Amino acid sequence: MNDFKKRGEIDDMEVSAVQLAKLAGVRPEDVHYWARKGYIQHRPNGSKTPFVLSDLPRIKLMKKLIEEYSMEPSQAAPLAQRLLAISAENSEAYETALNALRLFQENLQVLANVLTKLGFNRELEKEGLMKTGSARGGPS
Amino acid sequence: MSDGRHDVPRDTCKAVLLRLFTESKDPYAFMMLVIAVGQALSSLLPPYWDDAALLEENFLGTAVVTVLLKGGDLQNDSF
Repeated sequence: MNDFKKRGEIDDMEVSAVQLAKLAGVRPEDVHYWARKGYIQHRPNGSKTPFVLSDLPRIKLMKKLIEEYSMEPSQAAPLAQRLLAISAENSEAYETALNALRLFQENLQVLANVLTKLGFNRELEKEGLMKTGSARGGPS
Repeated sequence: MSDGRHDVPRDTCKAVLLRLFTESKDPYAFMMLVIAVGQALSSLLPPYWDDAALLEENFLGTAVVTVLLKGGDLQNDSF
């Protein structure tokens, strides 16, 4: 049996909400809620394992975006989908998505440094962005 | 310092950029924009650029702010 077939079989593995939640580090309630919203797959066949393991990367990414970037699930789901689609290889999709987020953070820091050094608080003030001391979205 | 140009902590500036990201209509496009602009700036600026005349070149900051503010609102099919 080759590795691709093995991986495909693992990805298709049916799991319960509890199992999926445990693997992703989220609550089973989140898994059910995200399934109801259509963010992850759900096979309503009366089975105790209506979820698929292949959704694990998407759930982990959604968790990261919600926790570290204060995104709503409705924002995190499509972004996670697009980040996972960067790589054509399923096996590399999650790591590629994480790399894109790391690259984003690095370059965000570059921009913050440049804007701070140039004193562009005034421009940001003009746009009404600096008024709120508790800017939403900082990593928790 | 008296002109108020250096009184914004970097972290606050980063938090504002992060807020633009989370509130963007298209966070993915915003991400790609930040990566592209950040990488362009990194290759453009000399290592000790803060001592250089670039400090006086506000066009750079204006360009970055404008690109981010406008770009964050772009729709998917704009890219």
